[in-house]
Amino acid sequence: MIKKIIVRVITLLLMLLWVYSAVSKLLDYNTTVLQFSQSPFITEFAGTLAWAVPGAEIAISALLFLEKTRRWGLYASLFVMAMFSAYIYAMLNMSSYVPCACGGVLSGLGWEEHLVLNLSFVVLSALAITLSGLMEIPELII
Amino acid sequence: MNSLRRQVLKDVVGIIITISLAVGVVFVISFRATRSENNPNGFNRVFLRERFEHVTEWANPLPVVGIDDGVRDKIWVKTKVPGIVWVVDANNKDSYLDTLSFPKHKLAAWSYRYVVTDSGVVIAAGNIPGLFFKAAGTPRLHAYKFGSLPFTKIVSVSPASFIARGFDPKVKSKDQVFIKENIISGERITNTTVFPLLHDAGLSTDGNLHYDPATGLLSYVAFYNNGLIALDTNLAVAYQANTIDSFFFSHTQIGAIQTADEVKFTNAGPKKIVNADNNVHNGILYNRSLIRADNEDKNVFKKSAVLDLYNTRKGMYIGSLYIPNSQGEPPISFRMTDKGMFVLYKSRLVQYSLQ
Repeated sequence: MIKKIIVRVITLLLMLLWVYSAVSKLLDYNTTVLQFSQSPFITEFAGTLAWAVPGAEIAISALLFLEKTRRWGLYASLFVMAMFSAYIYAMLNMSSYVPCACGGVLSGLGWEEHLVLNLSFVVLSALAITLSGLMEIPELII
Repeated sequence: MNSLRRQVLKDVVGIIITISLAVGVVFVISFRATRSENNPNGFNRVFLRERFEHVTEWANPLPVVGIDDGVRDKIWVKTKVPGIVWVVDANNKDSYLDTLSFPKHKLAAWSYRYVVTDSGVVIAAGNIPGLFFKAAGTPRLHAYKFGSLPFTKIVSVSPASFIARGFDPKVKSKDQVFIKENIISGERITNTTVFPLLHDAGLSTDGNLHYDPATGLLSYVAFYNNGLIALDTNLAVAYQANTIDSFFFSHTQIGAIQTADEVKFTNAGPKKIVNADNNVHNGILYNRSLIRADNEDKNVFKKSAVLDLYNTRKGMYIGSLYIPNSQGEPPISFRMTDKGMFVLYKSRLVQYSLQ
């Protein structure tokens, strides 16, 4: 029961995060393209990423929402969050210029705070994956 | 228990593979993007025999932004608290926090710097645009409206005259020009021909502006290319030269976003900064370049801040030096004065002599 609650809370948090992030990027599409183009690592893909990233975030939210696809959604969240975390780490250590492509209130965070936030969600996603796996074992269902 | 263990192991392996794939993707992208930094840049540096020798240091009392000005024995350090400037006196090794009544204007804190003149400290708030004068021994500020449009760079060439790079209402395109204004007579002159008018708010030609009383010349050093221009105090171009790197053209693209009320200009690609920071003293321009020379070791360059020196009377390259890191911290800002080189780090200000 507790496992179920924890997984649901984490799922809800992730869904909120992805939807918020996607909507804020899409509402200010031109700024999003500009911000992506400022990154030395992804500048050539800026136009594509400006719709692909929010699109993927919405798709992950949908996967998380449905019970049947929730584990896929958690793995997708883990993958994307780990990628964002690695991206921030690479920007902080390999690039002399570090723009931000975040949305809404998150853009008020510095890069280091953002990295901590992302890593927290990596841990939460991994925890939810492990707990949801345990929930599938028949003898453990009470 | 076996099925429990199997499930946990399966998930742990799945998590590790997922994270590894994600990190791998980023590694490939960043490796691809940064490998061009190993290409030669087409120039060499001549390293001088002189070295910076540590004289003394002061611990930063507050989080700091950078050194805004340095006159004779004193250094003015801008802190992250608007209105509080840290003043370091190299003569008696003292330092103190000076609280200036900060201008009560919503735009003031966005962009301001301290300019030190013979009559006191000036808060130059480019977004207002205004100059706020504080005479020594008085707490009050005397305000002067510097034109009607913002300025981004400003220096004092005499107690009554300031030269700025900013916007002028006579220039209809959205470009920055050089402006000189006498704050007593109100007389204002502009030079709109130093840079071509590119309709990009002057971003692609952005740089640093300095005045050297020893030569009577202003030096303007571009951020994004190797442009180095000297002006006299009547805004006439004395010469146009280049810093020693090979970046004759800006690699920074400028873009604009138009909304119903305004147009915002910003860089539309990664910023490639060539000349990051600089100042002038006694006829020498000290320029911190971010471009590695072909005869420089990559690892040494990464861990150091290189200064290229130029003769400001002729715009000619003299040689280069490295500013040392201090206890693992890279330099944030520097200023050359009669008392030597002052270098600001995250936790301290260090005074060096040039030996």
